[in-house]
Amino acid sequence: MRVSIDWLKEYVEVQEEPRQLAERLTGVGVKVEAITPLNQGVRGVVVGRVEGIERHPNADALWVCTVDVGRPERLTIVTGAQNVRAGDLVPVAVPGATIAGGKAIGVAEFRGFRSEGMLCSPEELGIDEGGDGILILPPDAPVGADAAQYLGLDDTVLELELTANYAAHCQAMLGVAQEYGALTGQTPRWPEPRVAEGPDPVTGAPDIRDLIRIRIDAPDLCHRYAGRIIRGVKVGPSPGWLQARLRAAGMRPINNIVDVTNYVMLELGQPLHAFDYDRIAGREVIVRRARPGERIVTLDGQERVLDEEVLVIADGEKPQVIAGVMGAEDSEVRPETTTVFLEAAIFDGINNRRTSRRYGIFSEAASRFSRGVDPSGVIRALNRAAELIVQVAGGQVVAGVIDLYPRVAVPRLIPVRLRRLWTVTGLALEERQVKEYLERLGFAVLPAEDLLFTPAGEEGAGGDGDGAAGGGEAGGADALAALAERDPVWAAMARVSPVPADPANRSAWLQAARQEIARARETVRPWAADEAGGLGAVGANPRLDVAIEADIAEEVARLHGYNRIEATLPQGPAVRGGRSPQAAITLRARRILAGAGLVEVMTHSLTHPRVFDRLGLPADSPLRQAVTIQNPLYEERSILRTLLAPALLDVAQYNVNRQVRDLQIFEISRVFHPRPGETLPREEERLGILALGQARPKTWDQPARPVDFYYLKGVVEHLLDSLGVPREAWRLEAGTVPFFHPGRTALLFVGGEEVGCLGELHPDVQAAWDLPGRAYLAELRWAPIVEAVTEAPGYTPVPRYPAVGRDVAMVIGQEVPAARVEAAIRQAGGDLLEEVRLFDLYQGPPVPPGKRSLAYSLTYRAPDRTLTDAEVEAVHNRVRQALQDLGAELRS
Amino acid sequence: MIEEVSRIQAEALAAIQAAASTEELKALRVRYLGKKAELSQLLGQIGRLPPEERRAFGAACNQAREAIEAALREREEELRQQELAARLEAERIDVTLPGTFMPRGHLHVLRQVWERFEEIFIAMGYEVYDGPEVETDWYNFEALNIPKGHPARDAQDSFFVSDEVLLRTHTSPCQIRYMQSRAPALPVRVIVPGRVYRRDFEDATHSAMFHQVEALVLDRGITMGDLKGTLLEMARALFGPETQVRLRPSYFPFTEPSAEVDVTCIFCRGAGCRVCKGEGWIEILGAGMVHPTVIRNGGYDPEEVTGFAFGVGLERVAMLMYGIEDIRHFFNNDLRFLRQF
Repeated sequence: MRVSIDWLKEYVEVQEEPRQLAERLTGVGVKVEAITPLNQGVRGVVVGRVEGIERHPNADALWVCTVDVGRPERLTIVTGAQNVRAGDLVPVAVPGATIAGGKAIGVAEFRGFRSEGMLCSPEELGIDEGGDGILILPPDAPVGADAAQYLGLDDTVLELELTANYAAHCQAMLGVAQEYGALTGQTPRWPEPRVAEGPDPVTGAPDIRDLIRIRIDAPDLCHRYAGRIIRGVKVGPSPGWLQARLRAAGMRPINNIVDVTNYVMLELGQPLHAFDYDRIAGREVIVRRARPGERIVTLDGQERVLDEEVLVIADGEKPQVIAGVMGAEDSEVRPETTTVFLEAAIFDGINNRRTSRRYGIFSEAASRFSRGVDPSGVIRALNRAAELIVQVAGGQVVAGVIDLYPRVAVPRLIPVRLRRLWTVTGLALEERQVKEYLERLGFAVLPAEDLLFTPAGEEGAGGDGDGAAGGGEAGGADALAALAERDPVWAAMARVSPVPADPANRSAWLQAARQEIARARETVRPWAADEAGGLGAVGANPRLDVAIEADIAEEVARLHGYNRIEATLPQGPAVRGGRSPQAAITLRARRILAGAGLVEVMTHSLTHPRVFDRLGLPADSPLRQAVTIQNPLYEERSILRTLLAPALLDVAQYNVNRQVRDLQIFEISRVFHPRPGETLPREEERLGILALGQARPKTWDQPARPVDFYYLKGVVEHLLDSLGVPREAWRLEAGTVPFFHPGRTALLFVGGEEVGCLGELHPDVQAAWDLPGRAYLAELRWAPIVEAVTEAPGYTPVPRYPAVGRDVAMVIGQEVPAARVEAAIRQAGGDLLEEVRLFDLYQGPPVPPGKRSLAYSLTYRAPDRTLTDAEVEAVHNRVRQALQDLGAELRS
Repeated sequence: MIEEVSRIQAEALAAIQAAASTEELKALRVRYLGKKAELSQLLGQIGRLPPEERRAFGAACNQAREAIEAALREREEELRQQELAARLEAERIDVTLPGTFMPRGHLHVLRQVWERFEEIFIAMGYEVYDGPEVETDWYNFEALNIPKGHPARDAQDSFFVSDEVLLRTHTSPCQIRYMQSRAPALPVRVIVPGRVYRRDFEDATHSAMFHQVEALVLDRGITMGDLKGTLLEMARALFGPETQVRLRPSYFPFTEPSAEVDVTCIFCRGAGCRVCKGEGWIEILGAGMVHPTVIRNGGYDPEEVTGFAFGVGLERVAMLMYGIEDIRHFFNNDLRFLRQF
């Protein structure tokens, strides 16, 4: 919403500078996003009349104009524009003037003709209005007057960025005026339209009902529909003031009728639509759902195919408007239109929003309907538009308003406990202050007693059936007057927003109001005992976004000022916070890995469906079963990942492409697996590790350490040990996994359960990601590892007796895994064997092919005595024997 | 003979003084104090003296011996010091050579900010909680007072898995999940850091995936002042003790009253600069008092308890803290970026 400060001043006094005004509005929640002065440097441009125009004798594309600018002498001005005619009123930059951007205009030569200034295009005046040529001014432009002033350029516009709640009422000048008035203690001046009605001058019919029939077939989508007819209008350009207002608001003037509907929409927030009455087939208007396959060519020239989800305004033949979104060319007001049917209606916001999104039409009307338009303001807006149309286009308003109101709206009556307001806001405001703030915002405020007290004759009324009383209320004004006299609640309801005049609507209104009042009294009844004295009641608001006590709390707090809320901290018993044990372990794991030199990455959960092919997963791999996004924006973010590996490979590739070739990275994050028959997928945390290049560069004191399988295994072992996963709780076994090197992959088992694998990436996959050298990758399900962490593993006494070391070296077949050798040593060593460490491994000459040399350092110790040489010798010999049994040839 | 003793003593002391190494001293010790030394031999001839002279001669011998002994010790210590100094000098190394390389790992910058949030709130007695990233429409929207057709759904354009299932657009569904898991226990104090998803085209300030930290407090008598005070604590812990917070009225369907929260611009400390567009304030999060409908959907009675909630974008905070200009840095995982933190 663009708010012209000049325009705002029609409704409230504004003394402040734009910047202060903007700050104050922002302070109450009406956020001003930008402050834009409209005049971009236009000085000294005046209104001129083109008295004569001739083609330039030396240039076909140029025209020489004689222009009256209200001075005794005429100016000769050369223009290249092709849209100027004799008699036109145009903005003239006389010599010495400046145009938008500050460019100075002087006398110039155009092929032999002196041009005493320049005729201005909209762009040259800083008006954003497309089209070629000179800006042709309306007939009411006074020759010689300052054009910037006439065009309303000496104004500043506040651009509002409205939140959904304030958007409803602040997409209207009067809504903004109400907010500013509340801040400054002013009641805005609402327009009070006066419509001079009469019988139809053409047919002599006394009432609009004789000229048109209106029917609502979809009352769920159209809550109110009202119309008027104006005869004998003369369609033409709007007067300058009207054009200026629209331009300031960012809308383009079209013609006087359409401009008035837009003006009233901007002023009051109620979108309107003007039809060419003579083009309404069958002289009937039907508000209905479109039929499947019906078509409409909207004003933007697009043909739209409709269906039952779309609400249309149709005539006897076909849809003429997508309701509250955009009209059709057919029934649009055009230059030859003489009779206007004017519509003011309320359409269902949700349906409207859906339709406007579906067709991609984000019209000003849709922007309002989708956020909610106050139904009680329909007739005022209709009358305001009728009044203005007669003012700017002439004509006669035909007597009568058709007002169909299937969903009658009454003001909300919101009971409020003062003490509750204090609690929620943290502001201890007196009842008097609360009342004042709310009244400034346009609410009617009642004292508590008025709600607690139920006047005689009201008991049991409301809720459902309203039989007897309803009959009496059909009388209309008198019935309401009587109610208002004996019950101030009724008086407040009637005061705060207009009551429909149509007898049927009025009766419905009374009935709805009665229910609203009864509901409020019902709410208050149980409060009375303990909240008495602190009870205030607020009635009847015109704001659709204010419905409950908490909404009132916000209204009061924002007007009082959020900045006046004192900062406190929650009171009450101290409570223990913290992470879950699982989260604490995960946090520790991340630190352990970072401590081991790895870098944590965070990768996207959304990925490309083709990653499974790139990994070479078999067609039937369950990892291909992914959660699919129905409305992705990019294919590479169209499914949820089922494993971490591809994202880590992407990170490697990204870095390699940037010459970062040494990387050891990890991530603990979720993967997603659909669960047949379940609404939500299984979300599983995994640890992924990827190593590439060197873990340690060559330095002057150490050789380089390229990553390999054992580096990766070391990281995993270090993590498990540091976390406190006991060695006996896990094991690694050689295994095969599709995208891994078949001879260099191990499966990790924790507590007997396979939790994942680590190993060298398969060469094909490495090529698919274009990685240099060999990459090592681990992907482990995280929860089983966390489960296996033993937080307090118990204590073994520190050894009191010395240890004895012995080494054993052997040559043994390569096919015997180191784990078996170690197991044999440990088994033979029994309780006295404390530690086994492989300290040398050698293959190659002189060791025979197919064999390798292994050397272990063994530590023996007894907990309760110093071992004798004989004891050590005995057990060490058993170890040696066990190794020989395994096929080892001992070297020491 | 006494003259002889004096001569020997003088000669020995001179030789000791002249010794240049501890090795040499060892030889001198043998020479002057050993069994075959002159002094020992002289003493062996004590029987030849007349008895009245023997005492004086013995004393002179012992005195000489002690003097030589003392000189040897003194000289030995001198030489040891000299030799040690010489050795240490010879062992001098170049301390400016680089130390042994230790690989240094890094936690992701977002993780570091994430943990900071956790620490701040755990210290104030908050629990850390998380829920599913793939959510039902009910938890993500309906339960948070955002019915179908609500305009707020536009602002949180969503990735849908089915009509009723989507990637959560905020961490707020965990307000409901946590309340449901706790009701009717009081107080509720919880934060929920986690991943969220929005259907946004990606650019310097938009990412389809990002992170939020949600906070929820529920108890009897919780006020908007408590919200403000808590935000102030948080802001000061994050951005420094001088930081102020400012609340501006705003709108969220799941809070009422609602507020947009600004903190003192961390670049200019409130003086006004390019980053804060001269305002002195930077918007960092949205907050408010929990809407009664949300409290009810969580299983508590809004007549009995009130509460506040807020949600802050981790990336936003990290970008402010470190002056990072492009949100995509966080997920590109360029090691030259990650290694800076």
